[in-house]
Amino acid sequence: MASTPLLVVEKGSKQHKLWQSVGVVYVVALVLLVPVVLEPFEISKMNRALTLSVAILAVNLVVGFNGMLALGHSAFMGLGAFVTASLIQDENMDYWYIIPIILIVGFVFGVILGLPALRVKGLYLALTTIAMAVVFPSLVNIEQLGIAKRTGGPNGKVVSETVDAPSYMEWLPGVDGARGDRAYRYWMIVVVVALTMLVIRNYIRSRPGRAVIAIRDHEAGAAVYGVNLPMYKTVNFAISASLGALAGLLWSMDKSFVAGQDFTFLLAIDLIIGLVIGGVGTLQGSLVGGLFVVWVRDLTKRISIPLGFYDLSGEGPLANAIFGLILILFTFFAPGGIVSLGRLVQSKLIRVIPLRPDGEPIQPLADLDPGPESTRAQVAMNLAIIGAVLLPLGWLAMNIDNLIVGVFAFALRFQILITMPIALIVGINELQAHKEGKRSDSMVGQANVARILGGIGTVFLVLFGFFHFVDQYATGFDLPIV
Amino acid sequence: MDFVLLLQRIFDALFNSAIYSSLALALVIIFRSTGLLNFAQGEMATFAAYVAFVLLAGPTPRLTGGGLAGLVPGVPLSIPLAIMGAVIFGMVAGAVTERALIRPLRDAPELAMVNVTIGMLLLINSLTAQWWGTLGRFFPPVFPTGPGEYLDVFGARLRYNTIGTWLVLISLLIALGLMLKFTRAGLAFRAVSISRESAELNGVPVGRTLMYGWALASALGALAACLSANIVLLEPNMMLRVLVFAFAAATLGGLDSPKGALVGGVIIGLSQTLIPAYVPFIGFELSVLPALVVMTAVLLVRPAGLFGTRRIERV
Repeated sequence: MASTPLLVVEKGSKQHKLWQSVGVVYVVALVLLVPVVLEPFEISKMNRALTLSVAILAVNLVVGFNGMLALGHSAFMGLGAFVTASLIQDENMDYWYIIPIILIVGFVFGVILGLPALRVKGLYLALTTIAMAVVFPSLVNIEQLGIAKRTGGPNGKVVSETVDAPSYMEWLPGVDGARGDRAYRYWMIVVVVALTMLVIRNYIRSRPGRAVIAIRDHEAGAAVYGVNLPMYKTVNFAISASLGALAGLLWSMDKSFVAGQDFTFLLAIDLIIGLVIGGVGTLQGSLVGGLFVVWVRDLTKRISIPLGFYDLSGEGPLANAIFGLILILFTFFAPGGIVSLGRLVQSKLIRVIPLRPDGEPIQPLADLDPGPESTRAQVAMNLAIIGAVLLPLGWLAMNIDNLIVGVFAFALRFQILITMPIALIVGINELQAHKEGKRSDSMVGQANVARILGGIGTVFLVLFGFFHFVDQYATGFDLPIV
Repeated sequence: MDFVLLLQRIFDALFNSAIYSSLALALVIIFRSTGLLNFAQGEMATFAAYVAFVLLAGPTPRLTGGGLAGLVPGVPLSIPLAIMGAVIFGMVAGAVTERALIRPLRDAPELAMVNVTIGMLLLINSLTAQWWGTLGRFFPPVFPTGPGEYLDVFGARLRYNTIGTWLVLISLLIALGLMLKFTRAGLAFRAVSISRESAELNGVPVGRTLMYGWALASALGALAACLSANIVLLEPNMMLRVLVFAFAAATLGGLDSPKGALVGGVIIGLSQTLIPAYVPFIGFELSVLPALVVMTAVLLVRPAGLFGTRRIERV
């Protein structure tokens, strides 16, 4: 295959905007359809995954972007959760007023606990923060200052005011009954997560964010450049702490029950795992990490692998073993996490050329054109054919009643979401290039195959999705098509 | 103040201190040679203690659990031999871990090492729980621990168990010190902990030295686990709590100082037992708190621990 990626677009061009809108459509569809498609208990898992994503983002701020090994954010989550629960139960406040309070409380605690971090460095700091995470569950039980009364002591605290779906939601198709409440909470959490990621993205791209990254890359150099080390480190830690507290608020909102045993060192380990596997130092990595930790743990709980004389069953401790193994493997083979793997794949498929201020691309597109001998049409054709072949295979494999095979079958069917549109667009591009005289004539047949197959596949995808949705969920509507 | 009670509490704390010190010593050895924290030290020690258990009980699957452990043949061994078996297993496991997992990562950032050791912690913990179940098992005591087995010191009881454990610890420390000072391997070890590149240029076999260091540390951990397995029941999470205190002890004393590990262990053990007894509002479940507060306080004053070497950053 040629060393240039399959698709090269100019930043801001029509094609680029087309790809971006496709991406937005996928993401929005995912967000809107998830509570409709999943079972109610799976929606709760999704909520938990998103909550962990916020917490992992908090850890990422300190570990990934500032280079400080502060690994005890489960304590901040617990802080946020208990303060929320206490404020709602004892003071009868409303959830939406609590959000700013939680952020401020987290910030203040972050400043207090972040000051020692200025003096203690490296692995010593890791140990201190882990100590913080270990101590937290027992702090909840202190009798003094009325803390045990407010936190419910060893029994935990039940939050009786839950966030329920408003009445207008009954008119929406597909989310009714047990789904309704959880779906509402899901969408609220999605809004909070999206806002948080937006804020943090802007923070990282701004001046304080660049200062923080400079501290990570070379502390002495940053100091020489005039970065106020203690201030930026502390503020960063405090922001991370308030994010952790926000995650605690989301946790208590979703689960309506907080107990000290939920926020142990094991949760801190989960956050670390999500951080590393998602991708240290990336924003999307936090999201991916949160989803990974919750869903893969759920998946491993259901596995049972017979190994001859011994049965490796999934309940209980095996999930942790698999996590540990995955963590070790990722450290060796993918230190940048899943996001780095994703970027690797993306770099093979599409490249966006930035524009100079005068509007010209920094590297003329013609330089990246592989010329008459390009293999792009062939690759597109292969993609389309492989996609078309794997789809019925995945369909057939669905009949096998085995969890691992089921996951693979799902992946096999899912891949047409990616291969078909790519084959279609690359086919169209190649035919266009041929018309402009940049390609030899032998490409035409392959490009045509890619275009036609990709087109059929994409149309099939859209129609299938539409009819599936209509068939299953829009029972309240009268449509001429059944 | 009841002096006898105070003395009794101190004696009780000393046993814990011995265990924390030996595990902290293992951590210090690894930190000093490779510069990384082995979060899985406790779990490897637990696994070695289970190996001793299997060797003690023989091939009875009901006692030894299912799976591979039930396939171990042979007659039940006596306690010292079983512990020696566990120690040897610990040495081999430590050496293999260093070669397979740590050596390839020698130039990676610190976070990578943290990840690998945390991964090992999860893996070994769950494998132990998978194989032997989470029920606590009875491990026979190494030193006599009957109700009458103590030494009467000014009215307080100093148990033989405590004395025996401390004797083992002190002799190990002396042996370690002698080895570091008077043997070639000790010299190589000291050279590698000062500067790996210089040692390599001087012809020191760095890889082998690191392997020996890990083997030694794991053997120490195995011994600590076997000594304490009678008091805390033998179960997969047995060393997790000890690990936290051992980390606190090692950090307090300085992560690259064996002497610091000993002093740290004593301080942590004492604060764990004495502070909840004499400060009114800290109950026993909160015993983790004073130890960790002491550790944090010391770190604030001396960021490298009491006896640790300070890190100087060169521009």
